[in-house]
Amino acid sequence: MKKILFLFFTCLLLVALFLPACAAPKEENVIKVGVVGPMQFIQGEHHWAGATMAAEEINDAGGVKIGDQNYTIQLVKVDSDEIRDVAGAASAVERAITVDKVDFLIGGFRTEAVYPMSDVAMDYGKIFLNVGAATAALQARVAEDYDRYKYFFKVTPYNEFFLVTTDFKMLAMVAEILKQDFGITKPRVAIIAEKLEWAEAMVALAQANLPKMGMEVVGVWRPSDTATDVTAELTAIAAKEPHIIFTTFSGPVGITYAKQRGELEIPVVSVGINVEAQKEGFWEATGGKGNYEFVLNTYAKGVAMTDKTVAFFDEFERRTGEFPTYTAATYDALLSMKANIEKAGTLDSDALVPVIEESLFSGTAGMNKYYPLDSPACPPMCPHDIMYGPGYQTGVGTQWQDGELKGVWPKKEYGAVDDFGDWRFEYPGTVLLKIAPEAVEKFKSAPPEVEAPPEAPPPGGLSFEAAEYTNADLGFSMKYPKNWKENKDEEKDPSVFYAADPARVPTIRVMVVEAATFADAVKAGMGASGNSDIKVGTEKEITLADGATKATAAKVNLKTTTGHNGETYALGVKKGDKWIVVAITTVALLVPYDEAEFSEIATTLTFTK
Amino acid sequence: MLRRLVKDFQGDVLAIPGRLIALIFFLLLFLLPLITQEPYTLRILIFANIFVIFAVSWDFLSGYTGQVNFGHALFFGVAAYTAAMLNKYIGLQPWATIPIGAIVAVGAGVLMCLPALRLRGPYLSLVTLAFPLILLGVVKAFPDVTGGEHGITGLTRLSESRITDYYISAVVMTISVFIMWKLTDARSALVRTGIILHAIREDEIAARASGINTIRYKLLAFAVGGFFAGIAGGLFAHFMRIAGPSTLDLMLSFQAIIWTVFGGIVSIYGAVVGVYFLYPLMEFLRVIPELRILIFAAIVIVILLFMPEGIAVWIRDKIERACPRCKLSNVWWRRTCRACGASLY
Amino acid sequence: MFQAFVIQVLVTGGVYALLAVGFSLIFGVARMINLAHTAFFMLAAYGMFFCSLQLGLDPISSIILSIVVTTLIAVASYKVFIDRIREHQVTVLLITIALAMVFQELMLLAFGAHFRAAPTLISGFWEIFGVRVTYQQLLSLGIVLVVLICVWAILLRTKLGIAIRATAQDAEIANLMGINVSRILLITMGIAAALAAISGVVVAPLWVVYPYMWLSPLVMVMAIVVLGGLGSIKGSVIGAFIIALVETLVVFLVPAGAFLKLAFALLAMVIILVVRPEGLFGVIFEEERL
Repeated sequence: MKKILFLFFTCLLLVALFLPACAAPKEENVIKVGVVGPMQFIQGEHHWAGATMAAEEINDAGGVKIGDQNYTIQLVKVDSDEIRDVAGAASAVERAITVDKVDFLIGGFRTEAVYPMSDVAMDYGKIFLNVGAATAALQARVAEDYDRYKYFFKVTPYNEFFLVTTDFKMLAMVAEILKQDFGITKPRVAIIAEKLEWAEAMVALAQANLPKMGMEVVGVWRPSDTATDVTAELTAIAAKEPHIIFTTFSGPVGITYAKQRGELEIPVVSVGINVEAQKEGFWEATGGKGNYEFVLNTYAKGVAMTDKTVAFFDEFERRTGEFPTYTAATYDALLSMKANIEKAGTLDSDALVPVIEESLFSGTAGMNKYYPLDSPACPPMCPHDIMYGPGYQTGVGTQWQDGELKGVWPKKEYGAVDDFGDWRFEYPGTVLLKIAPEAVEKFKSAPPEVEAPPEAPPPGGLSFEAAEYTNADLGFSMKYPKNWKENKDEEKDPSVFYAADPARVPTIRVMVVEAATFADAVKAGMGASGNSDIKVGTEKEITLADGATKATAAKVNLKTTTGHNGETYALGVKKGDKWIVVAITTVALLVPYDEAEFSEIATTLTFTK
Repeated sequence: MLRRLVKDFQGDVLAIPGRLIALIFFLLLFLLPLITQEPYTLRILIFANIFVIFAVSWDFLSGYTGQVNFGHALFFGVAAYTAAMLNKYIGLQPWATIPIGAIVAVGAGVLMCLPALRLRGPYLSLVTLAFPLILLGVVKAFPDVTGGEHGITGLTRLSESRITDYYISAVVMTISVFIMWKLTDARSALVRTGIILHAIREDEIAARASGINTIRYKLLAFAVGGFFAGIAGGLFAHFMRIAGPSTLDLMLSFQAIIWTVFGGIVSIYGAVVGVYFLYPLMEFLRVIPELRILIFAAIVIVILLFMPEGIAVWIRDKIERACPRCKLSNVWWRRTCRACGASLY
Repeated sequence: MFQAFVIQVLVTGGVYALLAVGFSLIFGVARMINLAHTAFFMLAAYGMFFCSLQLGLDPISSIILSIVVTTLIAVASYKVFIDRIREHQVTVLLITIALAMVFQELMLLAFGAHFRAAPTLISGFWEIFGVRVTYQQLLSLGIVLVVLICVWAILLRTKLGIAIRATAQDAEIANLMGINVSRILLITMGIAAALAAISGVVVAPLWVVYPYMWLSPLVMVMAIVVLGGLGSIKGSVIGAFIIALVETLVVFLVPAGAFLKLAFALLAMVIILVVRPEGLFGVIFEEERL
């Protein structure tokens, strides 16, 4: 018995060892592409399936034409197993480059593994198209050390800053619906986000922004990304009676959450990011309890972001029986590389990089374009990262509606214009957002919220806790929110005072400028501190809070020193030949422009003589 | 003098097959770059060298003291993170960060030892299991410093070329293994630790009754084990250029046990054999990725089922035979002892 | 808020207790840390998923089938892989890890790395003092009670129970008294695996089913059992509620630190062990010279 067992296992071992010993020599006219991913996990399966579709398509159409030669694409499956073994992932990539001799690599998923994997690729000067790791910091390396990291590009998904920007747009839509249908003017939001680095910025920005968007944050819960039970969190959340739960999940906790939320019928609208809810298997995994989960996605069935989307989606689903998730964008990566190689006429990485940098490719999820090297603000807009915004990549908001994942965002009537473009559009195939019946019942039964009477103005008549700045020389003073921190470095002529919110914006700048008109004063003053493209809007005559002094005010658009699009509320009073200008600036990407709040601060300007 | 050395060499190394094999192994290790300089092969061997240090340090700490440590990754991770922070935030070079990291790991070892000294057997194992997991919580709680799940990235390379990396890892590995082997050598005339550790493992109460301060030796075991595991962690961080939460992973702790027990616990060389057998095997199995871990686990089970003492110990018992009278090791084909002439049967 | 807290502790503690009892039993009797214990839990969860969703069996027969098959697998693997090398403690430990990995990989091959769900037996929730608790959670609480009573009855009221307890106290003497130790260990393994399987079919519908689902409960179970005192079933049950209390406290008091609940649970375990090195109700190993 013992002997037989031993022999059996020995034979098994020998077969296993010699099976793969027959490696094929490198063939002529073949482009070898390494598809890197955790192949036993759904992310890797989609990497591979997307790349296979693209390779077949290319080869059927005659391959890649370099000069007068036709090359066929040969895919090499590089199982990085990166979810379990980070060190092994880098070895797998090195093996692909040195043993399998791949020409370039696409894929990657776990950020901790993409760092060493891309480092190996850079060591050998191989192009690595990242299809899966969102983190902007990966791309920031291109800006820091271009010569080394120039071979590194990101195809999908757009980074965490854009993800949260998109989240806010989806939240704004939900808030608008709650207001229109149920008269809820100030929705209460519970933030639940897994405790991972990528979620940090998102939670911080949500806490800062939601109140500015007219919502109330009732609390923040941070379970582990692999928590098996969140009923304690859900019970605590339910006790706060929120209208909206804002989710940020990438791990299996997303399923646990959705399932338990559905099981306990917590009456809320659940909106945000939940990677597991993007997958076909979500409905089954939650036993149908994940109904009405509203999540940001890359693709949605029947929603045509470009003319390629629907055909790709259906073919992918036919082949794998699953919806494509973002790692399936290896399809776009490979097809765009075909175009780039043909344009460059070579496989040489150094010759390809400038071609890729210039490329514009119509993919399955929108236009693929990379941020340029001189991209002014990194992060969020890092070189070689995929470009975000209408016309480029927008993502699509999807909702589970009775077993089907429907596209529900963007919607024309809920869109607005921002830094990235005009969001007042919708893709063909989107439907209306649905609200869970238990939530409808709860929202309807709750006494309609009376628009709270404007709060009795606190002493001093201000809606914020104020600190004061006094200028004895010119005899004026003004108030600003107490938590804004003064920064002396910025107070260089003509600026006499500068302070900023801890979140970097909004900022307040007080300047004393010699100029003929208000517009000139603003331009000279703001220009002196490094802003450019200053455009002063329509000027209005207003009265300061003291009720007597007349002033001029206008909205100003400009480019900040960091390259962001800034919006400024500027106010000026002419004293002799000098203008005293107060400018409150924000960057909409981080904190939206709020004229009421900004003018309230600016009009606290008072003169003592 | 020279003649004496040659004679010692003949008697203590050439005559004992196990030591001869070890000698050939280390010679091959250092001559390997003459045969191949393929970066991928070297990378695998560098990892093997690093994990040899890690596994041997587990054997030293757990095998020799009988304190089965389930959280050996703590030392590895603490040193990796320390080295990474020193490198990233202060700009120290690997030659400084790795030893400092290892010393901090010693600190962690001593801290871990404090509750561990009161505990025995499974209680100790389970408490040691808790530490890296608690630390993982701390790592997640301060993402600004630790980089959260992404880890601390962009560290200085170990050296500029792969060959140098390889030699660094090989030299450090050889020295570390040699030191730990000497410290545990029960027959050594120079250091007493070996025999004392053996005594503690066999019967702690009896050892204490014989006047041995067992606490001091347990502390020593934790400190030395922690130090070398820390060296491995520092090397790993600088070779990978990243120190992330995977260095504190539960599976990494289990790996140390798998490698060591597979090769043969309480032997030092067992851990070396275990890593050098299993790590390249695991890499080789990449060609059938779906079955990789399954085959790995199956091999471990089957080998241990037939050689429960570990593969290296099993082989040693086959090729060496201890003399029943003078305890000297002999080649398996000898019928009489090479020293005292006693029959080996 | 306070009711919510209390109810939450009770429910979570019940689930943990169910998981921990089997592990405690096999340790107490065989002195074996069975790292594959939660792998049997995983197997039963997959069995439940496979039988009811892929074969379309009714819930009751799926449950029975999963429990029986899992128990058989456990007994067989004990017989084949562990029984003969029982003397080598660390090797046994290692083989149990390797077994868990084998089961994990087999499930991965058979069902992929997808997250699955086992169907709940009774859907819906019950509102107690304004706090919502799912029927499945209540069911698991009820089953914990039944299982505990059964285990107690077996151990204290039957001949088998006496043999098991005798083996647990001193295997060699038990052997001398004519007890077939090997058979008792096999039976105990069977009971322990059946308990793991029961918790698998009851708890899995609350959680997510995937090949790695054994790892995190394993840590939790070991913490509970050690905390309560190895081999003491009473200790394990109390340990389960202590861990549940600590975890729920963390979630309710520091919502932004909810991810730290495992770390705090382990910290609680370390502190209790420093104060009481043998756990709450454990035996002192100092006395045992193995």
